[in-house]
Amino acid sequence: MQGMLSRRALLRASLGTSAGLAGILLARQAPVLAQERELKLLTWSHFVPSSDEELQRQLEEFGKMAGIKVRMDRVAHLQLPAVLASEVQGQKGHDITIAGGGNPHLYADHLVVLDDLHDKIGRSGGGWTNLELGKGPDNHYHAIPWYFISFPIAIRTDLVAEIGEDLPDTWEDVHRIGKKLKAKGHPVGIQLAHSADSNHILRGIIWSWGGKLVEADGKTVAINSKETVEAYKFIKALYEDCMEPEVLAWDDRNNNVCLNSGKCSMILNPISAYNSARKDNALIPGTNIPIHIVINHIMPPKGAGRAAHVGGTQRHWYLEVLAGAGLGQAVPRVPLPEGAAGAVHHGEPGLQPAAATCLCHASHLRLQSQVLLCALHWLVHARSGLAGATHGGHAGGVGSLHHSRHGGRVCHGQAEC
Amino acid sequence: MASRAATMAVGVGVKAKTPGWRIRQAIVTYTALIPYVAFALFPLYLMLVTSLKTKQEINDPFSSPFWVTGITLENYKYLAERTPFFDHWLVNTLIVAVLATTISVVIGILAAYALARLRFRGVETFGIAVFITYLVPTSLLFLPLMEVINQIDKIIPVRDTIWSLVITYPTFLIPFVTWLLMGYFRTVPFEVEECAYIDGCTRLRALVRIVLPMALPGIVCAVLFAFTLCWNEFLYSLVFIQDQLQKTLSVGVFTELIRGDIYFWGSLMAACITGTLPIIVVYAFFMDYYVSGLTAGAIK
Amino acid sequence: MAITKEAKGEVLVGVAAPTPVAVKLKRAFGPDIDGYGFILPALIIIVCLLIYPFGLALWFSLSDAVIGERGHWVGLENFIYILTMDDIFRRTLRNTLIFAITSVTLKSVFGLGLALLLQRATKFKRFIRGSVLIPFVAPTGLTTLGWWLIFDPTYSQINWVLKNVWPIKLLGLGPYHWLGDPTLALASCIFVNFWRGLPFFAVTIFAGLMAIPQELYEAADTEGATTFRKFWHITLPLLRPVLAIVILFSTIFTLADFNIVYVLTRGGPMNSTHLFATYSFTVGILNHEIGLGAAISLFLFPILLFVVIFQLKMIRKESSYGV
Repeated sequence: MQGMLSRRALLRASLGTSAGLAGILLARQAPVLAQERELKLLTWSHFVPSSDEELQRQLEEFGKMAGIKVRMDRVAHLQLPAVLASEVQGQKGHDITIAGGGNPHLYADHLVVLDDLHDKIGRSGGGWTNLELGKGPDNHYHAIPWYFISFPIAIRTDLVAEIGEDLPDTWEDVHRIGKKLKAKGHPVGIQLAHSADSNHILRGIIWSWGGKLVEADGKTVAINSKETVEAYKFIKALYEDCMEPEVLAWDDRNNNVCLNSGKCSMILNPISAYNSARKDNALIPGTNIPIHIVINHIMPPKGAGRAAHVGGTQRHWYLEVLAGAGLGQAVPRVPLPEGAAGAVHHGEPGLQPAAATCLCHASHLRLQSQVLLCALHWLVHARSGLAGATHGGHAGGVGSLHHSRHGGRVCHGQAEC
Repeated sequence: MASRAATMAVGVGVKAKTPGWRIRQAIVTYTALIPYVAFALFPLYLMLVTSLKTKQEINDPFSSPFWVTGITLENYKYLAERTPFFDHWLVNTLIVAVLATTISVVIGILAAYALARLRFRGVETFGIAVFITYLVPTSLLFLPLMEVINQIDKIIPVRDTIWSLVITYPTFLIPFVTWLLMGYFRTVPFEVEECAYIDGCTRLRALVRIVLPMALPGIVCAVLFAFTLCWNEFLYSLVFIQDQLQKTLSVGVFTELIRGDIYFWGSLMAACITGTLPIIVVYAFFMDYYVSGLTAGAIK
Repeated sequence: MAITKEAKGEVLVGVAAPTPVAVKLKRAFGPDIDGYGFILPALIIIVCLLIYPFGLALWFSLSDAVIGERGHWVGLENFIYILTMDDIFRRTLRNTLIFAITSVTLKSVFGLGLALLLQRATKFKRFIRGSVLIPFVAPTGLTTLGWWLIFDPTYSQINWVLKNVWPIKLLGLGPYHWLGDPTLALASCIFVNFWRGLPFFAVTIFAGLMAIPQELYEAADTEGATTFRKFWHITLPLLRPVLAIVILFSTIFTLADFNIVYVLTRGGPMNSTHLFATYSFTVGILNHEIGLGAAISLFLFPILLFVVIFQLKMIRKESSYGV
């Protein structure tokens, strides 16, 4: 009780300061509320951060050109579904947003029709390889394909050579080699968990076995098939023979860690593992050899004797997929037509259209013209970026992977950031 | 209350026992306490150690996770330079906590005073309503509240800003504050207040001049608790705010610092430590109030 | 409700001479009419932000509302669906009960133990009390991330200890997949909840211990009672009301827990750790089914009501002990 008086004094003092602080802070906030309208772009936090910086630069350049305020917001990829849901529910949000696979279907009622823009970009870019992408259930385009990222196998060539094997071409090869490598303490690391990539990988394997999510009409659910069951039998065998149970609790980064720490022999992931190993100069445990030197990227393998479905592309097309599916916890309300995703990637390397989507929000019709201009502008940039270095390491990675499809293997130099 | 507890604590040892018995007793007590203290602190310790490590050390499966060989501040630097941690999330959390606490405590004081002192029709019903709402968890109403925010947004733009939290946090703070303060107000003798009325004070004046100073420990307690609850709130902030720059600490750290594919443990743990620190500092100063509030909330 | 007609001329003996209208009002609404002014702000907030949303939740749960669409009346369809068709919901119900019962039991037992120790510890009092309270004060969202690291499949410090520290490594235990195995994942969530909630029990029970009159123990001492008998016949019975309240509070907030499960597992692996809150978040926001999500979270309500009524009855019964 003796401390009472001084405490009281202290309390009064502290209340005084906190109120004063709030006042200052509020004043700081005020101008933001009073600001004029700005063009807002929503994108995911790219896992190659330099990519975000480049996009920011492009957007600002456009802002200057068009004389309009611009703003780019980023969210972690797992948050994207919640953000889009909240914006649609509130009928208020960004003018342009990145989104994935099913979104043009799911949010068709809330998105601007982009038929003319789609047509214009398509013609100036030499045509689209797939005309289904970006279409909503009303057969109008609600999204413009933007870019895609492949999902190659990142593999330790030294370990494969040690057991006298060649790099795998089919999933059966992966299973055989993986089994041998697991016995040597180097398991395969494919996450089978509540993460985004798990979904892409599993879907890719289902497709490789000839299974599909929905029929070509886009309405009939077709996942329950003999092919899917076969694919899952394979996944189970792969899990039991080549992997450790930790993959059940992984998220999208654990496979990278596993590969770069020298434990895993192969993972299914874009080149971020390689990139960070190189940047951090991770070593093969017990040696002085940088691990990135022995990591190679190869195209996703074929399955069940069928032609490779080049799952990577399709997977990536889904990487910015929406609601539920992205979190591995539920089936999206409106599944994407299987055909839509299936054919994205069969174009020539030089002709790849971007495969993620740019959505324009219907609640800002006033800004529609600017939105279109903007979309046009940075789509052009992004597209040219695919062949060059605009989109950070990824674009480089994608380009080189395409060569790999023809030339066989990826050259490291090309996959650099 | 605190002083009473102190005398009681002394009272335990009053029994005339031998010095040897006392020493043995103390050894047993403190040995048994060590695991509890270690258990309470060790996640925080691990967070601190991890936040001081370099990426390489965190990723090295052979280095011990329990101490750090080369202390680095790179994770904290990253937090300050590359994320909105300090300049937005911390500031937002502070604004929301201060405003929501102020609103809730003021409204709570009025309501608690009415419940403790005044007699009018419906006051019991109101008391029951407060008690029931006190027990309604945030996770019951987040979906409809999202819609309410959207409805308010049509008049005042609150959606996707910290203001949506300033509006909604009082929903769980007011019932709590009211309930807590009601107990304190009842301990203030009515006679003192009566004198004020005879001197010609209005009710509000009497409340401010007489009752509040006497119930000050309770009010400090209410403020502390409300502030802590605001600081720690997660679900509303997660659901109502998607704008990166408007997020509060807990949610910002969880949604923005866990990035898709890259290593993040260092900066994540640095953020957790930094976000926990202000609360621990506040609470180190006012621990006794906090404890008395915690117990009053349950016992009164 | 209605203002009753009063016989004119009936004058109350008051401080000041009141007007007849004031008299009437006082008759009808009680002596302190200004009380309404005092409760008005709180009432507005309770009505607008608690009762109205509750009604809205009821409406959502009876409709097929999805994100971005208002929805139509579908009656009890949502409830019938989750009760008869939804395996995950059944799992959620089971999880919630296991989660709450296990966690509250652990917290009660260890909280009581810690409280007894706190009472005996006279040196370093502030430090000890301060440290054991920290888990309860620190933001759960952030500290759970620390636990996430502890349970991480690649970095788990627990697994590291099992593998590297002599002599534990000789046992050859682990590595355990804390968040990858359904049972272990739920256990991990319970453990973190236990860690966070323990101080609340300890400190509240400690205060309850302090309120027990010392004379009772002294009297028992003179009769030569053992420590255990004193605990069983004096401490425990007198603690019962406090225990009941603490358990009531903790049960409610454990049943409604969101942070811990959402941060640690997001309901995984294979939807095996969902609680009501995380499942309704997943369904209502991530899957867009607001109607279904509202129905799921409303299931909390009857359970809470049951707990509250049950516990309050217990407290009434016990209150004869008086504290």
